[in-house]
Amino acid sequence: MAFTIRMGLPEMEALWNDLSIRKQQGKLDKDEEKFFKKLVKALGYLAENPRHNSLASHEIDDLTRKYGIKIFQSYLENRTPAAGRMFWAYGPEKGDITVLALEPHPEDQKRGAYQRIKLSALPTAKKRAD
Amino acid sequence: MLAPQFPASRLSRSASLSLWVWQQWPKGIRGWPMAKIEQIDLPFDNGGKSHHSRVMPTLTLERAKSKRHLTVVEDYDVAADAKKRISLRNAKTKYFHVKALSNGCFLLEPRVLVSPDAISARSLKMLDKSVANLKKGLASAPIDLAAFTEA
Repeated sequence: MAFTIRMGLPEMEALWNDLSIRKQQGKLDKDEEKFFKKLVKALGYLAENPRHNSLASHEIDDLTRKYGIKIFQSYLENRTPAAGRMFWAYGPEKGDITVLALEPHPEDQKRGAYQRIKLSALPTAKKRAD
Repeated sequence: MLAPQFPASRLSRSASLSLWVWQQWPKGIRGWPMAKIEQIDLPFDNGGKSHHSRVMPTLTLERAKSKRHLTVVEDYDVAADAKKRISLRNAKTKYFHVKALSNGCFLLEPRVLVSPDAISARSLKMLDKSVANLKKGLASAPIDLAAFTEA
């Protein structure tokens, strides 16, 4: 069953419109071009089969609990430790998939990511015992 | 008769305050009454929490009692090396927050790295808005991937 892909409002729609228009105009820079290619490929897989192997789709329980609807996460690329991710949900109509958010590729060491690593307190006493 | 102000369970460590009161004022007698007097025990809390009342629980919040008790697992002496470093034995975590106190003590508190799978605040905000609109049945028009997949 093929799904219809929609974008979440308002930011995802704006992002998609911006990227797709600039792609048609040939105004995407090198990084954006690379990202857009991955996005289109992943969305193609998502429309074909949300459980496609390349997507490694899985439900995120914490987000499902938070929002009250099933939220899934899929990867935009394979064999990459810090792959970009997209979050999606079924709906609003049957046969629809709405892409809710994109989590871009996490910044690597070169861009000072390690300098901004946060240290948090240990989770709970119960976990600490494990 | 006066009723106790506090539930009995909260008065386990209480003392009683004895009050001698006139039980009744005899009628028709002038001057000092000749009626008997009676001792009434008024319980009061001497545990330092006499202002806590179950009747008005929001008046003050009782501090939750800590259930965790710290125990000494290891006790040893170490010497700092040439570079003034000491080693921890059997440290359970990789990272520690260190506080050097003015009296020469060092306080170590275990820390863990934030999960790399965590979603950034920006993406989470985007997710919030998208889900709110999706619940209202709002989403963009279907996107056309054909133009981009052929290219």
